[in-house]
Amino acid sequence: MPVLSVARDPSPEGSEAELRLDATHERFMQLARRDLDRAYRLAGVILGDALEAEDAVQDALLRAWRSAASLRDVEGFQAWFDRILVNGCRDRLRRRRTVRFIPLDASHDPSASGDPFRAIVERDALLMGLRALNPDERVVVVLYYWADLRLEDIATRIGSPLGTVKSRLHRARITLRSRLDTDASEAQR
Amino acid sequence: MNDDLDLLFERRLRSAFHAASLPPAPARLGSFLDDLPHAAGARRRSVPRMAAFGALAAGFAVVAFLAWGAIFGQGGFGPGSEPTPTPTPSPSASPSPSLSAASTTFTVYSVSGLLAGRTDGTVRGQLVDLYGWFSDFRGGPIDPCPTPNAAALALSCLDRRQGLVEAEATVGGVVDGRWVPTADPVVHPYWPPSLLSNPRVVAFFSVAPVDPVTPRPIVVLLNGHFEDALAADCPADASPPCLDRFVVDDVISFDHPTAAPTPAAVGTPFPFDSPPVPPKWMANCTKPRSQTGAEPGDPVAPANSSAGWVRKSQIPFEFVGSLMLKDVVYVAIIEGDFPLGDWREEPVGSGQRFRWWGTAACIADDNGMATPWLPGTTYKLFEDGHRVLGGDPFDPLGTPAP
Repeated sequence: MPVLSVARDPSPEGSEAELRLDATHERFMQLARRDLDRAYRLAGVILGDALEAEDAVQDALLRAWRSAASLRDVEGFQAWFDRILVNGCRDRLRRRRTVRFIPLDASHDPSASGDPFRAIVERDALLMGLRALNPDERVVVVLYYWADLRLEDIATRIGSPLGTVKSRLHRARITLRSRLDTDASEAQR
Repeated sequence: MNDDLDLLFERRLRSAFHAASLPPAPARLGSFLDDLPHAAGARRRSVPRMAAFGALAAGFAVVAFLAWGAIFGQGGFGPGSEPTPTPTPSPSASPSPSLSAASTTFTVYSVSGLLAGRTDGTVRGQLVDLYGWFSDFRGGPIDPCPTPNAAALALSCLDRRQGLVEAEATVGGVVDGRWVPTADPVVHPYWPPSLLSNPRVVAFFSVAPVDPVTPRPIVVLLNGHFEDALAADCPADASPPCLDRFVVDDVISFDHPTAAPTPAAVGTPFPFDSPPVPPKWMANCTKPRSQTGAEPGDPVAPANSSAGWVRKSQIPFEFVGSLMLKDVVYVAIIEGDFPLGDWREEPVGSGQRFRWWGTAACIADDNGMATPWLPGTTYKLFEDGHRVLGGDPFDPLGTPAP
């Protein structure tokens, strides 16, 4: 038995693939449905963009679905899915910073207005500092301060040693704080 | 910072995050989840042709770009350039069936990258793409193999005579009628019997015949996974190759060994006699790509080594933003090596900080600009000054490009 119960149509032009939901995938669906809102919010806060968050969750669901058989422990679903999602978000942040596409007119950017995730960043001077963080630091900050995870749990989710998590958080705090101090001193002038 | 201020700052930061009321997942996501079984099937087989080409382009790009450089009257790029497998048939001549245009992306690993990922666990539990040179010696007059092991994933004597290596070479050779395996890193994939009726796999094996005498390695891009359920059949004392065998899910693309070489770029780059002025975005082309601006040691006043209008189809590599640009674009190549982004940490291993450098390009039309790099020119520059050549800045693990 292959690990995936998705039976593919061998013909690229053929009819849609038939598939069979086994117990693993049924369980996956239940857990994913339960965690969907939280996952979307987590991606939104990390990415600061609702449309991109939706894409990221879709990608993570797809990846997770295909790897569902590797989920041995139901209790570990959230950590397992978070890891897939967070990795995807981090990749998106990196791509965003490495290759940028600049729209001619900001009004063409569908995410420019009414984006709840962008709004929470833009209305708070401290959170605006998130933009100065690199993707790794930003992910750790969101997992720590928004998701309220312990450092050990963050290390599990991002697949890094505890020391790396601590150092990223430390650097992120310094950056955020220095930006806040700079803003405050400029406001006083 | 004193402790009180630290505490205040912590509280301030936490409350800033929690002050906002965030929306639930949109209904579309719920529908997507409900439809996931179908979406997984449909998207799985819809890896875009160009995505597959893009992955192969990492190997082909330098040679192809040398030809393309004729447009600008130059022949090479920067000290970071890596040699590429030669001779290089045209990926466009691949007989792979065309696939639909939906976009699903997978991380593409080289052979050594995949093996490293298997060791450190980073490639487990997900579908990944593997790029390498495949050869197959399973048939013919070589010393016979004993009966295969009972477990399907166990690496049998025959299994070791087929697989992928990183450079243009075979998995071994025949010396005096005896099989001699390569000493290079190799992946011996498992081909599920059910996969062998897949037309793409049939087409692949039709050009990668079992040829024990003069096998020609073929560039192939496979999709597959580790941790297959078949590993449960491995004996208790099984060696890792059985427990950790790479199982093929699909052949995404491959190169026909008899395909013609890539033709040299010819013709005028712009379809009009008097090309227009460069798009205004080009003014930003040489500005730092770091979020924090220029870093010490960054190039001062970098210039373009070449620039001009080309048809987008003439650009021999995939880049993000391509679909948003018009058919005729303005391309500039930044002279010398250029930093491609911010400092980041090695995701595995040392955790050292580095930045990606390479030969940067700007590709623009009047609507916007993409800022990719030339494949094969990238390297990591670490804080202590040492460099590691190769790699894909999009690859989260930073594994060297094949």
